[in-house]
Amino acid sequence: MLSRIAEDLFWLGRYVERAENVARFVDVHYHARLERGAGPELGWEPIVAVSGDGALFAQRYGAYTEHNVLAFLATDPGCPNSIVACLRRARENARGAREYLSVELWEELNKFYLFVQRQGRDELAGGQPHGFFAEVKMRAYLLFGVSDATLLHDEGWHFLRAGAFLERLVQTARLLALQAHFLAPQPADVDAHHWIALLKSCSAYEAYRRTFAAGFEADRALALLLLHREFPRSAYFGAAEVAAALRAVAEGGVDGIAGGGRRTGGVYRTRAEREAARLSNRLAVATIEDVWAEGLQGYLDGVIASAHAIGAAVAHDFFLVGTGGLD
Amino acid sequence: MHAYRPVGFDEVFTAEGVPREPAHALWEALSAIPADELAARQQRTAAASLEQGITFTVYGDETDTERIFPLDVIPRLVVAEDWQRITRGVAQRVRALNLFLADVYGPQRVLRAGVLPPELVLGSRLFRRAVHGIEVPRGIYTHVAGIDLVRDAGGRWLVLEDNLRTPSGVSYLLTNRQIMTRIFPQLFAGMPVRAVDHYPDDLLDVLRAIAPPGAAESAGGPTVAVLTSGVYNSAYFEHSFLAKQMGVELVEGRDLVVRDAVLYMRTTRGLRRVDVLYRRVDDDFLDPLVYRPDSLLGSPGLVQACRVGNLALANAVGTGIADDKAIYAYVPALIRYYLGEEPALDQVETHVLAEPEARERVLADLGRFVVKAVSESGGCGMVMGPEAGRAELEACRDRILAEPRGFIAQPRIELSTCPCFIGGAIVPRRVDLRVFALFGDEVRAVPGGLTRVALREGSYVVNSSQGGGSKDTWVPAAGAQGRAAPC
Repeated sequence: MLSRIAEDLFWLGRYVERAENVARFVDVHYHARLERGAGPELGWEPIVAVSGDGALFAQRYGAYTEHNVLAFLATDPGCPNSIVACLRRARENARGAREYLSVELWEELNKFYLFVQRQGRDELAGGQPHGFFAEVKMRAYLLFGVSDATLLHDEGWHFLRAGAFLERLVQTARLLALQAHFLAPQPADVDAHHWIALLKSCSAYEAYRRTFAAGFEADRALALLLLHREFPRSAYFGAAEVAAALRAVAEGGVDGIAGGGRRTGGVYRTRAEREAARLSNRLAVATIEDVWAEGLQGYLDGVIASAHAIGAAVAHDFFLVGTGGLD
Repeated sequence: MHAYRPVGFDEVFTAEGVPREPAHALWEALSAIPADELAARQQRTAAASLEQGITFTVYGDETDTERIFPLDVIPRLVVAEDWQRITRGVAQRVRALNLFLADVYGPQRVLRAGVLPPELVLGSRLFRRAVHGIEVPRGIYTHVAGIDLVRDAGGRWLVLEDNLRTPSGVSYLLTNRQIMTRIFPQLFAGMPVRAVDHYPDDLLDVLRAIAPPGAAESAGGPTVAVLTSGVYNSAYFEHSFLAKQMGVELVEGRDLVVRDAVLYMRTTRGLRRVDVLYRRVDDDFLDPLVYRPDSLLGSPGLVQACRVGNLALANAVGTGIADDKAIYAYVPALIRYYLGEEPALDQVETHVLAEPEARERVLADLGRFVVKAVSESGGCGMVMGPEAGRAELEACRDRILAEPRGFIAQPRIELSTCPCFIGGAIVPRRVDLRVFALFGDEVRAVPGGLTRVALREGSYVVNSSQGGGSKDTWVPAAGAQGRAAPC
């Protein structure tokens, strides 16, 4: 398919996933503050820090109040990673790939965007932000469900999924990386509230409960979030899905390749496929001891770096075809 | 029924409100339908357009609005003998103008023979020097043409305008027929109409036939693509529709790259060669190395790829000079010069304002004329003298004097009307007809064409961009008896 359309679909997946992640994270930490009760104050600053736009927040808002933080992360189009900004970009990507999308997918995405854009502020001001964030999550799940149900599971669909899972992988790793200083070097000192909030941020609380008995242990929580083969938000799961999607792209189709040979002499036809497989394999065979041996922060930095390498390779192999020099 | 008051020449009803002979059967069938049923069917056409995405999108910050090009539920009839003459006349024009293009971009004999003033051609903004001397495949410049016709107060068919660059509207022609057969099947029963649905296949054949030698032998045959300027263009639906119907890729400038004078598409499997481009982008935007340097809608090196014969374009670069309205005035002379024939179709009397005598005559009585800019289409830059106020006429006069070569003037034609179903009643509205023709081995017109309707009462403006609508246009199939089944 045309590189441009593949790129639009890839980023459509990334931006919708990003919006859902922001909603989930802010929702959990908003309520974690309340549940703390007498415990140590969880300020608003760390929540903004996760978005990576802390400096911009300081510029635009100054004071870390509930109103400001929620507005910044949910409905401020001037914040590049706010929910509304992500959906706006997703919609632009969808416009570009309109011919490829099903009518249902296009309509649901539009409704999603309009919901956040028109009702977001009112919903948040109404004093029950949870309702808004829950709605955002549900609509994101709906969107991916609609894409699974109504699109041909061909190259374009694989790019959509590759984008979504790559984003999920990155978000999980970043979230953990930001928490690393809480979790190490004495993870046993971290109190239960913190673990609960962390697991809920990744929608992993119930999965933890099902998998392990009572009590929170650092090793188990980290193993679930990083390495678990069945938990759909684990870093491993994301990497494996990206690798599978890129393999499917490489294997599908019969068109000949003109110019710029991409045979790498091995199993992998593209660099992107190889990078994704490398990360997926590493996480597949890793144990939690390996993680601690390297140091949690270092290990997570490695995962994030690999994710970025995958993204760059996907762009190089599929989207930037014909631009710049010959391969 | 209802009192139908024709304004001038009506194609269906005489001044006394009696249906003319060729429309008898159709009108009998329509009269049998109660008004509310007709209204329901009319609404169904709008719903069908929306459902099938036959829309043009008005993009907004908050929301995108889908607009439809309204389809009137009453079809327009073109009798077989009229259609025969129309196709003959259209074929003549397309062939003569094509020979004219090959000539002015080649030996320029027509200029030396003095058939028309050389400066009219050579001084035109639309004459593309950069493609002079390029040999186009099969010698054809105009593969897709849209010739606009009107009928005057006496019912005479006249050519109003030639469109040889990127004429649009054929997708509405095709979808109108589709919608009508679904919503009004009874009207078609007993009244065989010539089919139009083979157009995308015919278009693809024409495109494949101009592929560079060698391309045809590759697996799968030549690679054809449709070049669009993108989703924000009002004709985007048609670009996308035709690409889908032909089963070819729809590309934008950003998808293309020229390497070593070969055009490629950028795909996830690497660069894929393009042999033929059906381009729906104006000459000015095709190649930043040759034309507008700021254009992102084309690809640098595209013209060079054509020049060396690695790429075929439909329509070829440079066809604008043939639909320059000043050249239009000379088409009858071109038909005689190139074909040795008399024009089968008359055209509207045209005053070329670059010529001093004509200019003087027109400026003395500006309020009587319709003034048009020579290189515009779609009704843009047009001044309707009879309806213009003093200030508008003054401004028009100034523009003419500033750049006389840029304008022509024509008497206003009292366009014929057809009955339309508007606001629950059947009322007369002015119409024109855009005939679409493909030039492959010969010039062939799609039966009927697109009838465009000026929906506002009293209006003469039929273009979609300015509040027009359309009708399904019927040419009876051979042997049609003309009796419709009761509804």
